[in-house]
Amino acid sequence: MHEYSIAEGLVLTIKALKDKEGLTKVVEALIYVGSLAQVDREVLLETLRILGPEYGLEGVNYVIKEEESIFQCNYCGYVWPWSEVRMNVIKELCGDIEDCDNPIHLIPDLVNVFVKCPKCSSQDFKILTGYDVKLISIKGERDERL
Amino acid sequence: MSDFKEHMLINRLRSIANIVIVGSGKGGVGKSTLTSIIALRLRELGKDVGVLDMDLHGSSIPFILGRSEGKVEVVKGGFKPIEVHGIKVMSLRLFVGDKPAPLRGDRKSEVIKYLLSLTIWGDLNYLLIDLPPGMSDELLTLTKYVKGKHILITIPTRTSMDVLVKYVKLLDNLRCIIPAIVINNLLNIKVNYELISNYMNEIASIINRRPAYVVMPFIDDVEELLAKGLLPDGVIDPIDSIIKYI
Ligand SMILES: Nc1ncnc2c1ncn2[C@@H]1O[C@H](COP(=O)(O)OP(=O)(O)OP(=O)(O)O)[C@@H](O)[C@H]1O
Ligand SMILES: [Mg+2]
Ligand SMILES: [Zn+2]
Repeated sequence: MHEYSIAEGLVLTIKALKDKEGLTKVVEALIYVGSLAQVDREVLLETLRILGPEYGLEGVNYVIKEEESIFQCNYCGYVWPWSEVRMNVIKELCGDIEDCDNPIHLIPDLVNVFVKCPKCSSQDFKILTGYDVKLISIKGERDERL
Repeated sequence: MSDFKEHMLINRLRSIANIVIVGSGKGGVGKSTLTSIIALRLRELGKDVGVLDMDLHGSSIPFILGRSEGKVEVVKGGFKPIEVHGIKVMSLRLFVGDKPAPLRGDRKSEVIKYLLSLTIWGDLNYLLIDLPPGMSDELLTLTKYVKGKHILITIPTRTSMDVLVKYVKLLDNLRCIIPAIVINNLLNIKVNYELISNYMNEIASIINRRPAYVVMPFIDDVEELLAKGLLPDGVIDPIDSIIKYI
């Protein structure tokens, strides 16, 4: 469900960039997804393809670049990836339901509320890589006669 | 790299006729209480009202309005606010419950952007935003994206008025509009009008305009009343004179 909102935001952003750059067509959009956001890749792609044409974005090739989220503790310096804690955190937040709309999926920044450093259990850690969902860039065509 | 939330945020706020931001710089002077009272009064006057609780650490609006439970509902296109006494309320509390949220600067700004861009308010006559104490991330992120009217609140003491003056200077630098100031007598002391008048002169000289000010009286049982969605008797007049300016 939440993928729909992300897709809507991305499509709006692509459209704004297309207008700003004066493109007649967007050919490719490169999208960054950190693993922490727990985005369902297929659902996101499908929603982008459905929503795109409503914003004048037809035939765009959406490319998703996924990156593992990695954290570093501000107290003890320990570095760990999301995959190291993911199972336990999701179980705590969702119980037996897989893919529940857990708060970290909705707002990745809330990871500090629900995750602790595996070494010293501090909640004060930074996200080194794999933060949020972003539009990296777009490729498009210009009408050269203009 | 572009943030997918920014364009959404601008779109989302288009359906709101008036945005009112309640702040003070100082803690515990009655921001959340005032926000709740204005919201209840506007609702009583038949307006569609939403309240965004921007106090990420001390989230209190749902609590003040008598609803400490409640979870966010995720629907197509975003987050659905809960409804309390006919007022739509969005708060971090709906995501984290009573867990502490130890968020540093950037994290806080992002959370605020998420709430602003994904909350589905629908058409509103008024969106009231309750700020936390302080003059950092929450205020700076908000004023970057949201041009609203700032209602300020303080208590009639030197220490509190002094912080208010700093807050006014900051808002003035950020080109924010300050139509009115509420002097909240929550300590139930004898109000020193000369002191207030001096500070109002100082504020007028900073912003080159004289904001309206009203005194909100001490209210017995304010927490019990607001939790039931009831407006205390003594506040209708001062609140109505504030509403004129928003
Ligand atoms: N006019 C008043 N009469 C009596 N009590 C009041 C009045 N205004 C506020 N209070 C009480 O004062 C306390 C602080 O109020 P409130 O929580 O609204 O302040 P705040 O500025 O939002 O605080 P914070 O900075 O922590 O967010 C609360 O217990 C509230 O019920
Ligand atoms: Mg408050
Ligand atoms: Zn640690």
